[in-house]
Amino acid sequence: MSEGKRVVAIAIDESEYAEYALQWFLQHVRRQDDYLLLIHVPEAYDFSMASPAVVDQLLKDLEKRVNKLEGKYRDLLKDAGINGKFRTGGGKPGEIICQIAAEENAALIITGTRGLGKIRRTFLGSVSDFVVHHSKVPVLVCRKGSP
Amino acid sequence: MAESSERAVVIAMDGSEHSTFAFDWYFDNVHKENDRVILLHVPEYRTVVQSPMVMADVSVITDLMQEEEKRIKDYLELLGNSLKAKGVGGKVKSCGGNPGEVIIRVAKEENAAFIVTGTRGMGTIRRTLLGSISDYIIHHSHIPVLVCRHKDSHKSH
Repeated sequence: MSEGKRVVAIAIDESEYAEYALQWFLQHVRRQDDYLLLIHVPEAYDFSMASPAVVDQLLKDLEKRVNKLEGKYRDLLKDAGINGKFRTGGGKPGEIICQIAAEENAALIITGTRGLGKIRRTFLGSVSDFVVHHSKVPVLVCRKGSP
Repeated sequence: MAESSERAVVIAMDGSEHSTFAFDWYFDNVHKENDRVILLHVPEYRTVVQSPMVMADVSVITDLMQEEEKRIKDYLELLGNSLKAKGVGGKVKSCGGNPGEVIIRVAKEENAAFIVTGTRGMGTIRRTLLGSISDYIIHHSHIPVLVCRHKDSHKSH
């Protein structure tokens, strides 16, 4: 494997699981010259029944949240002394994550085990599950363990 | 947790090119100097158990089992050599049982920092995107799992 720059994709959202995945990467995987690709696929809003004013408000809220999230991770990256960039996309999160990771030639995709979803029936969230099954490159499923 | 402290890493090995790929990928991309690698093999007596033996003869079965055991012994030796070749500290472990369960259990016993696995094993059936054991591990592990997809697993796509 090359010793040069690696692009490592991390799927992020506002959950603690995403932050854990980043910290785990920094502690256990990170190598010199790694470049982080932070992929964020915001929760989709259903605009079909909304009036223009509501749509406008929702989009503004979304933009605010995305900026907040990116700001948080920008700080985390800066503190860790590592370079990276953000990419977001609309659509089915799992598909978009795999797609963007492929576009950017990521060597590895890191996901948490779940995100913000309220349903806790399964041990592995649907997005992480999709990514593990469909990614063309290795995937690190970062389970926040019970000791 | 200190940066350079020792980590135990469990790598599930079954003789397939997928697990070989997983080991190599781990070594090239994640391995740290003080890692203590456990190459874990869970033998499945496939040849004996799954062959249709209508006219079973004790000596035939015994021979097959002995062949299988030799195959396993050779494989474990190969694993030991691959650790030496890469200068990696660790050991080779072989446990019987249900592979998924064994891998999870050993990882717990060894206090592993994470588990490394390929996406499938020796089976030739490519109906699923992820083999059953890898799937089991990601759903049952309490620690991070590195699932190393071998590029050739996309040949049929």
